[in-house]
Amino acid sequence: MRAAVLTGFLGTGKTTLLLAVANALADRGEYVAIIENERGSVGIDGRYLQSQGMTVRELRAGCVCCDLALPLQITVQRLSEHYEPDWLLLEASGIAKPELLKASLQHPMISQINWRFIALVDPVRFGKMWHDSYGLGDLLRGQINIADVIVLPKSDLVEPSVLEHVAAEIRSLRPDVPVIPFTADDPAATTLMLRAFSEPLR
Amino acid sequence: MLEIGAATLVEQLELSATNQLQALFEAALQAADECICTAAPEWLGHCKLMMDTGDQVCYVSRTEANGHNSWRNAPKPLVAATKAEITIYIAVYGIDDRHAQLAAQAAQTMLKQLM
Ligand SMILES: Nc1nc2c(ncn2[C@@H]2O[C@H](COP(=O)(O)OP(=O)(O)OP(=O)(O)O)[C@@H](O)[C@H]2O)c(=O)[nH]1
Ligand SMILES: [Mg+2]
Repeated sequence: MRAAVLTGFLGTGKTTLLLAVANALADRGEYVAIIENERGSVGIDGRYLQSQGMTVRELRAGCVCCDLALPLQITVQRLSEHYEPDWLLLEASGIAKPELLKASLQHPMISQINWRFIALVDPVRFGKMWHDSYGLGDLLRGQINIADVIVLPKSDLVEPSVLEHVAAEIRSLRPDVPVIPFTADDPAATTLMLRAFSEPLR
Repeated sequence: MLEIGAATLVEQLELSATNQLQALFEAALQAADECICTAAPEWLGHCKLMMDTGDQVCYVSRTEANGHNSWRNAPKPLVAATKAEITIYIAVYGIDDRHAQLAAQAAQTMLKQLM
């Protein structure tokens, strides 16, 4: 089983990317299971993904990096045993603490799973987050620090020069990871994403 | 410490075939945005609105103060009066519990606009 976790701020495009990749994997005949960690008593993402034909488990009463770490591990274990999916995709909440999330996913209970960390960085709101002093900037840098791949979604909404600037800031922190733009509804971009999700980890 | 203030609402709506759904939902998002702006004029987060009629599921959202509406599956015109389930989800970054109240207020504001 392959596994990937998507991190990124509220509204960055995690669900949109996840659905595009899950649909493309399903088209190849691969079975995908999804875990959603959306804060709040009712979720939209889980329902939306289910309405699009996806198998989804939702964890809502907290964050999978800390108070829901054990439920996450149990959900991962059960999904992988009962459904035997080819792929397990996890959408982290917009507040998950990257280092804790990583530790939670490396717990001995599920340590046989090799997670790929996909960090989504929103180029539209990047300037408001990167230099922010009340915690967003640190969270963003934390997400980038644990990433195996970095994705810049909504690339249709910004000028190429903005994408270049964002990519350069990210590379100053992590010159070793690929930074890949993504646009929803662009089949070529989804193909690139499939490759980014699938290539062996370095 | 950085937190998310979140609020959700689920309601059943009666929609007539003459409802301009896209304009209605966009006005609701605009109202929510303005509501959050009264206390957090530079808010970042996610206001989402999903409609499920059984025949179609539409999802529209905005992610920052004075933001733009972004659609996944824009609504198709209704051919007859329809019941729809509406889910409202508001989540705003903040450093105190004021943001949870603000999210709850914005969710109510959005619902009022839709009713
Ligand atoms: N134009 C454009 N809009 C996008 C793209 N990706 C996402 N969006 C829009 O951005 C908004 C947020 O996308 P989501 O996929 O819901 O973001 P998310 O990270 O899952 O949000 P949360 O789960 O609430 O944190 C939605 O309105 C999407 O339609 C993109 O590539 N291009
Ligand atoms: Mg999401």
